[in-house]
Amino acid sequence: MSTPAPVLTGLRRTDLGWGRGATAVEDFAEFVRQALPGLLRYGHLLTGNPHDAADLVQTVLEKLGARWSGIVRNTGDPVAYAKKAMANAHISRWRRTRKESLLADLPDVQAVTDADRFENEPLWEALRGLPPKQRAVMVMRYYEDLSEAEIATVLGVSRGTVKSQASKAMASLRTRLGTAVGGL
Amino acid sequence: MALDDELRRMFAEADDDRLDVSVRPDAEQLIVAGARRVRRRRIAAAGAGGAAAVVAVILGGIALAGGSPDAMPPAIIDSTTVAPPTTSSSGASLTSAPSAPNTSAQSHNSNTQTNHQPNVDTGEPELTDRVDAPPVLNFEVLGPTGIRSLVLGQTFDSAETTAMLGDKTVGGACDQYQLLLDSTPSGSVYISPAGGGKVEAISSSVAQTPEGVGPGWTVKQVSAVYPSVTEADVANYGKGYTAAPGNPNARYSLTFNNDGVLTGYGLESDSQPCFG
Repeated sequence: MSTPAPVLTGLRRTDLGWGRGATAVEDFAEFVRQALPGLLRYGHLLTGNPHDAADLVQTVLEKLGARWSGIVRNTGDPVAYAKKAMANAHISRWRRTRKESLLADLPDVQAVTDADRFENEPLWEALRGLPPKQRAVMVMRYYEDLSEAEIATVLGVSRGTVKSQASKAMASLRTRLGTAVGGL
Repeated sequence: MALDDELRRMFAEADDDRLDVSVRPDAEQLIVAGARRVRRRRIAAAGAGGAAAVVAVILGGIALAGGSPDAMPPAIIDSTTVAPPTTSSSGASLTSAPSAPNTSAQSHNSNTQTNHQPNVDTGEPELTDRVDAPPVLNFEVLGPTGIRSLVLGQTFDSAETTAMLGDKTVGGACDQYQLLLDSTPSGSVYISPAGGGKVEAISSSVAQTPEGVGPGWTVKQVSAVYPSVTEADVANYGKGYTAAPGNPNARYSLTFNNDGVLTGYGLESDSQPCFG
C-alpha cells in the first residue's frame, strides 16, 4: 500500500502511546508529521489538483486534531478515519459548488495551466475528468483496494450505488480513452 | 478486463513524485494550531451558550485566540512551487459529455431530487381546497432513522466522517451542531455527550418525512398522515408528535407556526435526554 500505515498502526502506535502518556498535542503533531505526505497524495487523487488536496487535508486534520484523544481511543486507525472524512468532505463540497454554479453534472477538475505533472498520461487525465463521487470510488477501489462493501460504508451509500458509480466511471474512462488502453 | 488491470497498475505505481503535494515547512505547526483553534471554538460554544456562542463561532473565536481578525487560517500549500488553481467553474468542460446525474437519496426515496430550494408555496392559497392537496415537496428525506448517512445512535466520531456536522452552536444536556447538507447549514444535530457521544436528534426546516410531510403542510394535512398530531396540541403548544413509522425507537416532533402551518420538524430517539 502507498500510505505510511505500517508506521502508524499496531506496535508503533502503542509505543508512542498516542492519547495516553505523551501529551495529546505532541502525539497529534507526530501523527501529522508522519501521515501528511500520504494524506496529501490521497487528497491529490480525490481532488485532482494539489491546491485543493492541501486544503482538504488541512480542513479534515484540524477537525480531527481537535478531538485527537477521543479519535485514537474510539477508532484505532486515525489514517483510515482521516481518509474517510476526506472522501466525504470532498464530495460534499463539490456538490454545493455545483449547485451554486447552476451547472449540470460536470467534472470538478479544470485544467491546471502550469506544473501539470500528468499532462501526458491519458489515464490520469481521464480519471481527473470524472465527477468526484465516481473518482472517489475509483480511488478507493484501485488505490486503497477497498471492497465494494467497505466503499459503501465509507460513503454512506448502498452497494448498488457503489456498483453503479464504478460502472459509470469505467464507461466514462473507456469513452475518453477510446482504444488507447487495451480496448474492451 | 484490460482497463481494470490498467487502473490497478497505474495506482500501484502511483506513489511517484507527481502525486506529491509540496507544503510549507511549517505545515504541521499550522495544522496543530488550527486544531487548537477548532477545539477552543467548541469549548467556548459549550460554555457561553445562546447568541454569544453563535457570535463567537462566527468570528472564529477571535477574542479567545487573540489573533488577527482574519478568520481564514493560512493555507499549508507551498505557493512558491504550486500555483493556485484556475477558475473553478465553466470553461472547456462545458463541451464534454456530462456523466449521468448523481442522485443523492438512494436509501430513502428514489423520487426525491437533491434540492434544498423549496418547491412549495408556503403562504399563498391554492385554487383547490388545501385540505385535499398538501404540497408535494422536493426536500431531502429525514427519517425514520436519519438523513443520508447520518443516523440516530451514531457516535460523534462516526457522525463527523459524514461531513454533515458543522459548527457547534450550543452546549447543554445535548450538544447542538449545525446540520450540513452539501456544506449548507440546513438544521441541527443533537448529540448527547456521554461516552463517545451519541446522535439523539436531527432537525431541519428543509426536509421531509418518508411519508412526504414537510414545511408548508397544514395541521389537517399532517393529521391525515399522522393521526396523533392533533389540532388541539398544535393550537396549545405549537407542536405535534408522532411515532416514526418504520422506527420503533424514534418519533417526529413537528413544529407549527401561528397559522397552523408546519415550519420544520425533528427526528428524535425516544430515549433522547436533550429536550422534554
